[in-house]
Amino acid sequence: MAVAVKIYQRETKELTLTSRPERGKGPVGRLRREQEMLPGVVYGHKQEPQPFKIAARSLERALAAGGRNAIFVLNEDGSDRSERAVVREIQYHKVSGAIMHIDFLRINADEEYTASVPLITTGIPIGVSIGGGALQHSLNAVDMHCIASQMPSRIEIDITTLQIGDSIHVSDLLASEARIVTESEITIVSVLSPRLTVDEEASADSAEAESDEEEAAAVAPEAE
Amino acid sequence: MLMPKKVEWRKQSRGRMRGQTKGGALVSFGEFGLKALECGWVTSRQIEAARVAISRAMSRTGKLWIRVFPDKPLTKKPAETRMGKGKGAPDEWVAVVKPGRVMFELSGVTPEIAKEALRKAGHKLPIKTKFVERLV
Repeated sequence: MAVAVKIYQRETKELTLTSRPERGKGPVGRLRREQEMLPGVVYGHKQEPQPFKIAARSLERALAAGGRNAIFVLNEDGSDRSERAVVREIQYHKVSGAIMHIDFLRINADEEYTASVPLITTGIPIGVSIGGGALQHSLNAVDMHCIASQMPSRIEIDITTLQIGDSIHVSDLLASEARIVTESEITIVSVLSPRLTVDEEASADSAEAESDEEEAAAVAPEAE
Repeated sequence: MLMPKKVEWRKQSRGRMRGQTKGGALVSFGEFGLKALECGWVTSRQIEAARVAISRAMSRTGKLWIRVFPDKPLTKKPAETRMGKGKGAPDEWVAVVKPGRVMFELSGVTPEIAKEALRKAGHKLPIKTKFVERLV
């Protein structure tokens, strides 16, 4: 199946980091609460991991502006040292969703590596807008292996032509993007036929009402 | 309603609900989710009521995932019974939900419909909840 695919290149963003002497749960917690800084670590290239801290506001702003899939130039505060890195992992607070910690992986522009690239769909399929089908996203990202400077930030797929019963697989993207290493049989998106007819839903509702009445009748004798 | 097919022991201790959820804190299957902000016991009836509210609000489109399962039996003594004479009979099934747990997930609908469907579902549950979206 021919699919219209648009590939976006990664942006380059700059961040200024400060070396972090604070280690462990207590000092790092105070860092978050009292200084509004976030802890992180840079590792890779068989060098020592470097813990750092960064102003929470600047990191959140960079990530919100597409930074999750950008190449970062990390400048160390107070020195002329800088290195290129990509976001490897972000830890979030389970309840509030706030960023707790970030990992950066050092990269070279000409180095090959595997990364997860988000898949974004555009448009509403004909099968949904006219046919009343349901759109099902099964895969939200694909793994790609290529040199760091050519790694896309996201892949946009046009799904407006999909009818009921149609689906797009990873193999459909391989014609326009051969660097994908995810298994080719996996489905990305499919348009399913409508789940229930109106009659079925109405009968389901009446069945629920009946079961409620039965339960009420069953409870009443016990109360007496 | 959701309940286990079979269990090893018919009655359980009540247990404690401390801390946050161990897993299931991110939207993993759909695009939108309903996250618990408090801990509590969510009964199979409440889960079913929330499911019906969501499916009606989505009007037969989209897909729903329920990410909690009521696997804990609650017992209840009959009305006007004197204390003692052992533990009551199993009465209902509950899911132990801790803060941060994504209980329901949706996909295939617009953010407005998802927000409204999950708001209605939240009203059927005994705990505070919030609407969350998948992190890209």
